[in-house]
Amino acid sequence: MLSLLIFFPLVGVLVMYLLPKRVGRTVATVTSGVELALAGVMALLIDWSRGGVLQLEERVAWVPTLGASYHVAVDGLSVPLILLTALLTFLSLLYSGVEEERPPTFHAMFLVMETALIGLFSTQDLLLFYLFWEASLVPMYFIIGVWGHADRVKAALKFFLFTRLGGLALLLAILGLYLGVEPHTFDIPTLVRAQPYAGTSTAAALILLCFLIAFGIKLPVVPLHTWLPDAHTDAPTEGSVLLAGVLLKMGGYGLVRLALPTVGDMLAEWALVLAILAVVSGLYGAAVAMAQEDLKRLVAYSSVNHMAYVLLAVAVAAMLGAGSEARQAALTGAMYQLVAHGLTTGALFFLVGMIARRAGTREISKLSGLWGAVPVLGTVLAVVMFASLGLPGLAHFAAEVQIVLGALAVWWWAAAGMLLAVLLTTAMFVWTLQRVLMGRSDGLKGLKDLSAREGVTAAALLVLLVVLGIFPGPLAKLIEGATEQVRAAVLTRR
Amino acid sequence: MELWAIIPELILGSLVLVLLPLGAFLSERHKAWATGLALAGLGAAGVASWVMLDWGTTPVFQGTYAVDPFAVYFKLFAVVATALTLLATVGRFKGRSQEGEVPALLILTCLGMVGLAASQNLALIVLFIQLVSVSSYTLTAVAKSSQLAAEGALKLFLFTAASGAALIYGMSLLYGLTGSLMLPEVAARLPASSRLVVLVALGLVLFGYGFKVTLVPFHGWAPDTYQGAPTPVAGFLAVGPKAAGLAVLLRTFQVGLPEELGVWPEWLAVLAAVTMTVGNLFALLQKSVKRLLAYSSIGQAGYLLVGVAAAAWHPLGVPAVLVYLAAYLFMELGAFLAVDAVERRIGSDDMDRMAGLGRRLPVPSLVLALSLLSLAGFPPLGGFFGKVLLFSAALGVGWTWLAAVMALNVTLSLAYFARVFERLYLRRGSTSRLESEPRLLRLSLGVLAAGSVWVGAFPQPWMALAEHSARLLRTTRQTVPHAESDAVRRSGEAHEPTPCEALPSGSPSCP
Repeated sequence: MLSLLIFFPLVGVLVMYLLPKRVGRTVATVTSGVELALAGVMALLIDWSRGGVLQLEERVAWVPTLGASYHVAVDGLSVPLILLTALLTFLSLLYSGVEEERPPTFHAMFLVMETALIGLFSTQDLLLFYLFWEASLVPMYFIIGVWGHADRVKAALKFFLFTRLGGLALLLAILGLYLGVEPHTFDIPTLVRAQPYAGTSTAAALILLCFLIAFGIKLPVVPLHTWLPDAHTDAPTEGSVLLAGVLLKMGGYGLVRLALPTVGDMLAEWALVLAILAVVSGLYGAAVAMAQEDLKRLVAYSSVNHMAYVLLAVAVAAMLGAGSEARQAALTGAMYQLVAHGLTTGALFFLVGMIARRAGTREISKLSGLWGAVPVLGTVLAVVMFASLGLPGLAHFAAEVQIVLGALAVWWWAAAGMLLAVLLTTAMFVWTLQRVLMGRSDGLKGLKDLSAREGVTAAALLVLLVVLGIFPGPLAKLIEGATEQVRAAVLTRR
Repeated sequence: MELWAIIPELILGSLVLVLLPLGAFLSERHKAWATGLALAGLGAAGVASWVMLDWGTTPVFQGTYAVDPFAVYFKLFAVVATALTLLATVGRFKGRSQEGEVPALLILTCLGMVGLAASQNLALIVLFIQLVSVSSYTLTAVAKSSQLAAEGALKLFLFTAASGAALIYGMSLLYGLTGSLMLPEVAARLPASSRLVVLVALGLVLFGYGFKVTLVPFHGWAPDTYQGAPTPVAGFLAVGPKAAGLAVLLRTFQVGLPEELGVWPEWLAVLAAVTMTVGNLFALLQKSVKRLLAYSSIGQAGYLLVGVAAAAWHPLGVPAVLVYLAAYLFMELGAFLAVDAVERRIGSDDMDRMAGLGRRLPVPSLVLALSLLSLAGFPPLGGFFGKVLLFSAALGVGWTWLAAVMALNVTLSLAYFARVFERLYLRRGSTSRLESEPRLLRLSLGVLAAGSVWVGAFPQPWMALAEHSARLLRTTRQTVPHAESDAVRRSGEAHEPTPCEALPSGSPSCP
């Protein structure tokens, strides 16, 4: 089942190149639709009350002499992100063609990336994890570089080099873990059980440093974030959605899946620094977003703010002395935040794309009165931005509250800093809404409102934002099962 | 006589003897027959070598020549590299006088490489190095009228002369110290010698080998030679002689040196770091894709040297080098042959003329991009798996600094490879369609691309083959009469502070 889920998009790619060019987009969209359905079936097959247990496990020897195997399985950490990936890829492909016609290769890149991402979120083998990690990078490079906006070549290169550096750091960390156990193995559950780097040591510190470089670049954490605004701004809309919606999640997922269970003690040692970095990232992202003229860049910077919560949550979870309740709340919040941010930021990039296509500009100063001109689009934008600033009843609220509560148990100043960041974000989004939606709409008269395809894209995300906001229970419970497992791994060491 | 042990060599040798006069006698129309015959002969040599994989370890000809899986691995390597190059050269020299000679010269180089990888005797090593060198610069100058080719060949010649002299001097010192030309005996008798003289001798020998492997600072000839030589030949030179040089380097240092001489792995590690950094930095400045590949291949030599250095203290070292070489064959030759296909159509290897080429010449562009991605270590391509092994070997020894330097270098290499991707796919250029590449060249490219994917995605057979070939190289050593027992060796290692300090306990070199 899982292998089918991982590799089905590649079948779609094959079919695409066998059929004539003009049906390329249709084939790609159908493929990703079926993939979404498969992901749904996967979600139905697993037991939601046992999120901490690896389910649908498959294992085949891959490089037995090195102790690497094709080992895939899902648990409460991976399922939400797999669903998110399948959904956003489908919506991106559905949306593609709204702005301009894309060739089959463009769609093929999305499907290849879908395989890499779903593979990444389901693998239980470090070498395979690294393989999927890097495999997701190349398609995105070409998506930004070939089909991006004005400064695409430079943005693509920056993205490529930064994430590659992170990738190699990840490889070194992985090999460090690999060499730490006897017999050597890349198997994640085995490594977590063996705990070769419990306690603090130089080796553990080096491994953690490599992990932090890798995941910090992806997440991104200030000061490793400089690739992000360019890449997000210059990528085509569909690319930005996937980049911000899923690719950033790889960093958060890696921290929770790999760093915390393997070098947790070292992480606890450095937790204070990480918390400071998180608060700085949170404040910085919000403040810089406020200064942006370009609507797309604004959304990009808001990601820096949102992802900072994840780092803070990991720091809190690693910290000694925190009440275990708070620790688990923070971790669950972090995973929930990843999903929520995937939905909101995906929606925001779609909406910015729709606005730019209509108005011919993304500059905030040239946009005004959107509400009057295109009421449905304006309303959706407003709701999504409110979700993004953490309005109760919408998805981000549940996540951010849990993280801040968790932080409160350890460092009051971190919680306070994050609250200040929330305040800044709120001000930033409200101010933006005021500038973009209100006012005279002279320049925008006669614009068409959402088309059917745009409407479906927006509605799907909107519904999920509301549902996850009002009923966080089931998903949170699934995640909780898994985070409890992570916590157990951290605790058994002491 | 033990002629049964050198059947592949005999096939290759007689092939050269037939091909050389044949080239002169064949009429214009039938020149391609020479290539056909050469391919058939290579096939036969390849099959004969494959059978020898299971023969175990036997020194033949009074111990001067080794029959072991390590040597057989390089026989196969040389045969495959030569065959793929040959396939790509069909029709390239059509109507020119060289058409009949190129196959003969390629096979002569192949013979030299095969011999070099199996030599256990210093004199034989010198002989085969000269054979590889002579045929290499003849091949470089095969396009007689080209000034660049003449310059490249002359540079190669001068470097060969200098490095050959150094090599022979170094070896004469080793002979003087030990009274033997046989590697195992050198190893056994060297410990009694003056340390300073040994180090000088080793430095000189390294000069000789390093020139073939393009180690910095013996790399100066490579960019000019690769740029001047016909592109498939350049690819062949970047792959074949380099591999043969590494083979003889590994054999000399593994078999011919006593373990107590503990410093050399660290020297090699430093040399590896310098080589990769210099190669990658200079590659950043290049406009010509061939020169870029030349410098990048210097960088690759640096990565490979990491494995050679680590081989002294970590069991993964030799397999890492062997697997990386297999991947390297596919990706480096793939890149050069793809550039050749491009060059034949647009008449230049200047990067800036390649804008938008991805649409105009889809197959060569794709293979070029794929090969470069593999060289940069992206999964699921061969370069990725090879680098995983090299990194593991370096970390296993405890050289965290070397792994970090290598990681930075790999990132750096992406910066210049990305410039090629940009030209091929990101920039827009002329859209007029070009005539697609010759069919045999495309076949060659296809095989190379498939090979890259194979090594990266399904590495187990390669890993098994490499471990098989590496293990027996070590048994060669244990047959030496005066070799120390394992226990002594281990305790000898324990005096070395570096290997076990920094990283994981429990790796085999750290008891």
